[in-house]
Amino acid sequence: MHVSEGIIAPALLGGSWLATMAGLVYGMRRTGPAKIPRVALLSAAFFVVTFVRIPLGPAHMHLVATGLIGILLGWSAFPALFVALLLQAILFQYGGLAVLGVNTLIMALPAVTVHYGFRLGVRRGTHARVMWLAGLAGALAVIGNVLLMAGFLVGSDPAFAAPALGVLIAHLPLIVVEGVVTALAVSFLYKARPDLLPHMEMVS
Amino acid sequence: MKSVSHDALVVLDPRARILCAAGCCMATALATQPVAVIPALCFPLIVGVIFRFPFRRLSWMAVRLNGIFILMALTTLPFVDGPAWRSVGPLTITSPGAHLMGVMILKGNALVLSCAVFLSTMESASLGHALSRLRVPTAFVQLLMSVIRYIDVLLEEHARIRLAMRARGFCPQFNVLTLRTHAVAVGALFLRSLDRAEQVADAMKCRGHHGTYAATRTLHWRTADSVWIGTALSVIMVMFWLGWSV
Repeated sequence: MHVSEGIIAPALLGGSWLATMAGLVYGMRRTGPAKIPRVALLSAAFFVVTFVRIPLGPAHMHLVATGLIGILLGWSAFPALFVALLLQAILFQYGGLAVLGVNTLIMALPAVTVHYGFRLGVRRGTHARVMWLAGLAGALAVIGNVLLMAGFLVGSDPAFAAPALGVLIAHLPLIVVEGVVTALAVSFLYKARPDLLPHMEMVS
Repeated sequence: MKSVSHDALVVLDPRARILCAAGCCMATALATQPVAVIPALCFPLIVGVIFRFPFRRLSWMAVRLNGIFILMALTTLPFVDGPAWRSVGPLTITSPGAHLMGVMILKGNALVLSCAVFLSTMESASLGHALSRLRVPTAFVQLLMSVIRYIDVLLEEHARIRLAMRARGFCPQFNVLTLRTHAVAVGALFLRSLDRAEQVADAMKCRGHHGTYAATRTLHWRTADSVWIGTALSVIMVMFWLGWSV
């Protein structure tokens, strides 16, 4: 889920770089030196998960895992996603340097938002509740990603309304898939190591 | 991440390469006239030819990027009002529509080319050292270098998980079983990542890590680096001049 280079208007590029830098600085402050390995490993895991392809008719879709990253990292999702997207831009030319601010904002803002939603809902959560909340977080994160992407396209030029609508429709299956995968992946983590999930109060 | 064996621009200081890429990308992103973007497209091309950059590796990227632009053009051009410029079959292209598409296609290709030529073949260790010397905060450089270090480890981990899935006869289709299997694989990958992160943090603590990034390599700024930075600055100035003079 990348916006390609050359599409976004200069004013929006500048604004999103400023917002991304603010998120990055705050995220790095919240991370602290002791948590850098955790953020780095999850950033690398995000990078690897984007290679997971799920067949959909004649085409494939790839996972994005922003919901899962958001649940596990909170504000640290900003540096984690920024670094992963920077490496994707340099190594594979997905996205790019100029549009890196936009792409980070598109991915990280919904991730941070679902983190707080999940944290609020998960206190004294049962397994089923955690799973449902994680599914909702995964789906809502992708909805947020897609809406932001469409917003950036239409904000750059109103003529991009049709491609923006196309982006929204094309990502509908991914919203469902991300919801299911996030729910089941968090369920796996809950069973294996519940202490890794944020603010869990175990209920027997 | 494996270091790239064929680094076309290895003779240049990594800092010069980062500055050239950042400068060209910034100037190109600000351009609003197609003519102003042409120098930004030519500069990385010329640099690539001089330093024998393997352009063939960009062919798939060029097809993908320009495919997106063609799709954007087909869905956008009918909705741009203005005086007619050309007619292609049933589609009438207006002057503002042609301008919008021209800027988009030229900028997109120039930006990706700059990033690819200057940075894509750079060794990962050089990137970290150069950013560190360019006064990028140590914590960020450490994070970047750790991600680069562990991508390979997690790719191997993921390959092991996929092999185990295949050994059990897993055949991906669009059904609940596929989603469940992938979810467990993703969960397992994240779990192993988090476990490894704890091990890494403990190992760093044991070795007395105190939050500084130790760059053991010495970078040497040569006259050639200054020449290329000067050339990049001249290209940027030409771009702004062309943009204003239209």
